[in-house]
Amino acid sequence: MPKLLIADDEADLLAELQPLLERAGFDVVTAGDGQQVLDLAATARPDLIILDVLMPRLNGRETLRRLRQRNDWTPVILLTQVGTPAERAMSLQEGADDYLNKPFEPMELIARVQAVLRRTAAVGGAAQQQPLSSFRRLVSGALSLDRHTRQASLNAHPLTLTARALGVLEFLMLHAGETVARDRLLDEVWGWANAVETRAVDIRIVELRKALDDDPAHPRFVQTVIGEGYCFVGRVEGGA
Amino acid sequence: MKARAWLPLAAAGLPLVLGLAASGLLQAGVLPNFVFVGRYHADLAALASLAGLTLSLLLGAVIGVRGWAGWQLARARAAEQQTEAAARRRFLQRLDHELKNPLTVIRLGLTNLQQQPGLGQDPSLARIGQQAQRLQKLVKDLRALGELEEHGLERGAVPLAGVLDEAVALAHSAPERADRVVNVDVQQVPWPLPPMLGDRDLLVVLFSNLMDNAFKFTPAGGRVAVRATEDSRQALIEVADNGLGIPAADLDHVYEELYRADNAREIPGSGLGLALAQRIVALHHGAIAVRSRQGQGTVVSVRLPLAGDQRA
Repeated sequence: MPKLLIADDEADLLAELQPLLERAGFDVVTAGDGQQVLDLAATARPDLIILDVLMPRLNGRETLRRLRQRNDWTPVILLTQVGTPAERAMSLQEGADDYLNKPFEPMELIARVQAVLRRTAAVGGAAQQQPLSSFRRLVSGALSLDRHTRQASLNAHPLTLTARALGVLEFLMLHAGETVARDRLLDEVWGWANAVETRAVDIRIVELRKALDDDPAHPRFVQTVIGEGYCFVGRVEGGA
Repeated sequence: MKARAWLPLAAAGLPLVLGLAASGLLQAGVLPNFVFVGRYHADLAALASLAGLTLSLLLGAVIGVRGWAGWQLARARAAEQQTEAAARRRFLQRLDHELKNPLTVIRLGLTNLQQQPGLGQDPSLARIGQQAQRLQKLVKDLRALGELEEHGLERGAVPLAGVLDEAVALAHSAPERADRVVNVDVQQVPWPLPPMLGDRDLLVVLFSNLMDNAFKFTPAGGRVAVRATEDSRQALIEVADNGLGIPAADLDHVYEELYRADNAREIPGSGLGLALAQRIVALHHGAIAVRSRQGQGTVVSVRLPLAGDQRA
């Protein structure tokens, strides 16, 4: 049974989250602040940590930084509060494996936990594996994406992509092998998702495929999962 | 014409009028060429011109001061409005932030209860769930409003017809709205409406919000008309309905976040739609206006730059 460490300073939240995750088949350990997380990560050896960003004393970000500094690559899902695009981008750059905005759908959290566990299992099953999100460059065959300069290239030729198409590509590559629903892409890349029709996503995917010369019938990179969303099918590696 | 409008004319014309009058009177011999001012011997024509010039300068100074004061006042008012809007936005962000934790706990607790045997279909829990969803939508809309400022616009040439069709499809999709008649008319004659300069995705949000309002406040069998034409090198898009209309007293407040008109309270909505619409229009350097008659309907008109316009 996978072991989860969940940390939030809101005791009520922990009290509700724990039974939910236990019923979903996880062994759950709880912590009330970042310092406890650092202690428990070493002693309880969880398979995944769910970290609230806003915690007193040692906040979620700082806790994550310290974990990574001591070379602990246990997968981390951050629960973010402010949810601005800048904050979300920062979460991934700081080495979180995923993040979820409060208030989240309880079932969505379970799905994310399972997806991250599956993803880390696929790349060696090690909890000590450095997440893709902590790398500056994402590489899949001839395709390379620099997350700092916001530039993608194919066979070393820079691609001309709109900021949103690049955002979609980055998100899909970070979640390679995972089917990402259009709604989620809208939420993560666009931000003001609720009112935009999901066709906006399809338009960017068409743009991406054209730039990547990717045949939807035999995709090298982005596959359409009918009725569900899109999936990056190439193998993605991180680079400095 | 108002008295104020005469001032510049008077200021410019006074020396001329006085000069002409003085020379006329001198010519006719009514006035002497020279007069004594105290101990000095002065040319009357020069005196008249000097008096005219002095008066003209005085009037000019009055106009200048008034104009400057008016400009200062308008600037102060605009700054005040901006500060107010920023304060309101900060407050809404804080509210959004403070709502998140309690809402998360409520939703988790509810899911836990609903997973207990016999409680899965409990009507009270279902109602709490619906209300929590409503709150969550509010939080999401508040976030959307805040995030608009942070996201850059992706501007391009956008054909309007596709945007309006998409917006109609979004707003008209609910089955309970099927009996509202909707008509979209995009200018084709004498020439087709040129593409607009804007962020396609945001424009869909803008028009789907306006249409959503139109459908929401129009009773069964009502009509919604969407018209798009070129006007003064801009696109003019009107979304009209023959629905409830907005009371005159509420018209000034419709763009305020969370404001709901008196006759709209029983219709579900977050009160953020027009605030969002106004923000999107402002980001596009456009203009939005609402005309309404209570009991007859509402027209929201939006002006947006066309792709050839370099201002935006």
